[in-house]
Amino acid sequence: MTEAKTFLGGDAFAEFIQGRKILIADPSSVTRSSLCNILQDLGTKESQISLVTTYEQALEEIPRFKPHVVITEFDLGKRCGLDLLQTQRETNPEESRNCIFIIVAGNTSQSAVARAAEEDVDAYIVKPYTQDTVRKTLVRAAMTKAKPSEYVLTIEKGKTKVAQKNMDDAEGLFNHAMKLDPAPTLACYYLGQVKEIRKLPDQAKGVYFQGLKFNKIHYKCNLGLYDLYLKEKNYEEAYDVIKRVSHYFPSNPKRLSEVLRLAIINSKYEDVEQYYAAFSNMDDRDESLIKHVCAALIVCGKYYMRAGTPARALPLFQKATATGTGRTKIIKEVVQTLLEYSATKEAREFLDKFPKDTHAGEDYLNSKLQVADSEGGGKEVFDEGRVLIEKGLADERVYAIMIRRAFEASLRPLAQSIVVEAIKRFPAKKDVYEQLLNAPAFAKTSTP
Amino acid sequence: MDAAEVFQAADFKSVRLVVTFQNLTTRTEIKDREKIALIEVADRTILLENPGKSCSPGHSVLIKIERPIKRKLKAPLNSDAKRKPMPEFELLFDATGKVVSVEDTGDAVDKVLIDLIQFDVENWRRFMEVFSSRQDDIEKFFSAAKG
Repeated sequence: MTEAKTFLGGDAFAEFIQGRKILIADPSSVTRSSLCNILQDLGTKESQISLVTTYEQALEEIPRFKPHVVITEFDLGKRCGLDLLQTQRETNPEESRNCIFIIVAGNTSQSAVARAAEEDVDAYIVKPYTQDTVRKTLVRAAMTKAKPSEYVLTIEKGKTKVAQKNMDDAEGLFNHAMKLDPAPTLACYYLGQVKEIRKLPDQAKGVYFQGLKFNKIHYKCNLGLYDLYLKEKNYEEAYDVIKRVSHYFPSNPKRLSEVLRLAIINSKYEDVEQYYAAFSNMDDRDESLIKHVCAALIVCGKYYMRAGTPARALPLFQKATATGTGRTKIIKEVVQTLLEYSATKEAREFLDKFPKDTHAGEDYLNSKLQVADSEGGGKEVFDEGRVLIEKGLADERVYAIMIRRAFEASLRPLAQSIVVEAIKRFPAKKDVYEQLLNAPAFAKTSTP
Repeated sequence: MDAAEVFQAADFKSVRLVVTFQNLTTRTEIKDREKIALIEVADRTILLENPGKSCSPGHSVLIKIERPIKRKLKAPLNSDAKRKPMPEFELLFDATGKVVSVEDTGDAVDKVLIDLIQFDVENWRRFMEVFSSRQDDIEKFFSAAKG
């Protein structure tokens, strides 16, 4: 791909790159080679460029090579190129502030692009690229760093004043910055931050809203507003903001957990199903997110059971157990919920979802006994319950079943001894068990 | 500019490309299409990452660039079984070309530069447009999201 070696902005870039170093991290050797050629055409010397293949290599190379420009593929094996930026910010905060960080990626999904924007990446180049696109992007990013506008400079000065805790000067600079750009959303954000530091939440909200009038998807202004509402425990407004943010920035697992939590707090159960779809499309689901998703689906399912619409609840329970593959606590929770609503047949179906290798575990054994009890099982239920109690595996519901069954068999002294044992194991449920002793008929439906 | 007005979530669906590479000179084909990657495009040339020894300079080749289309199948609600839809492909562009250069870049892969010779110009223009407009959308989104 031979092209002319003079490009618009090429001289400025050549001047900028003098004495600076560039790291290229990409599993594709052809991409590394191609980017290297483009950089050399822009005046970069070979000795200024370091090429690495993996995330681990890049991680070793960054502190050693101290690059001023990092160009990385989004997908670096099992890790994401963005993680490099986070690592660099943590380990070299000063250097990372002046570093240009560019993603070159085959992955152009909304979630990947939004994550990069969230992380303040300088540019995102789509593969396959043209040399012209790479050149223009590099030149633009370099010029933004090398010759920032007065607007950007004023904001930077304001940020320095904030760091020096000089809020009067900071506020003055951010107010001045707002006059330097026709859509000064970023200045609004930083002014809002100063207002928050000065404990003026209403004024902070005002400037965030002002910023969002210029640009309603501005990430920082939205998050500023969201944090303020959370601090005020105004969950309804917080949910509205984070829901909007999630629409444009869908990928962050931590945020999805927060959105789910707020959806439940605000009883937006219908929305949970929509977030589940977003979760299904996610590449990186950590353990915490999986737990949040399962919990939200179950809470939602319980809501529909309570509302007398089990047909809506059951698919959610299905999704929860499918999402929480191998997590027996989730299946147990579903089984118990269904039994609470006398859906014994469905509870039995979910009991069958316990993997075979968990059948010796307490979650399965307790669930199995509760289902058998609900199905009207006879003496074997009582015998199995005694074994569970003796082994110290019985949960609070099994104790309740055993108290009721002892009463039904006219074994009051045994029932009393089980109550004593139950209170010892679950002291917080003392009142419930004592009540059972007086009115054992409630045991079948009560939930200790 | 308010990116919310110009940016639609569906615009950013990732385009995964599948490249077919037939060497007409040696009458061979790269069987594992996952191992071919389209890295760079320019006016009537493309740069591919191919498994080693797939071609030599001067060879005539046939290139086909497709993208998978996912067909949505509704899974029954009472089943956990995941039914994967069969992939179908939409042809974006095909051409015959001549290998200009082959460079061994290590990792048992070659950097293969191809001059496109016979192709539908309109298809090529549309293909290039897919990526340039995506790049534009991303830049607009970046500018709006970061302010």
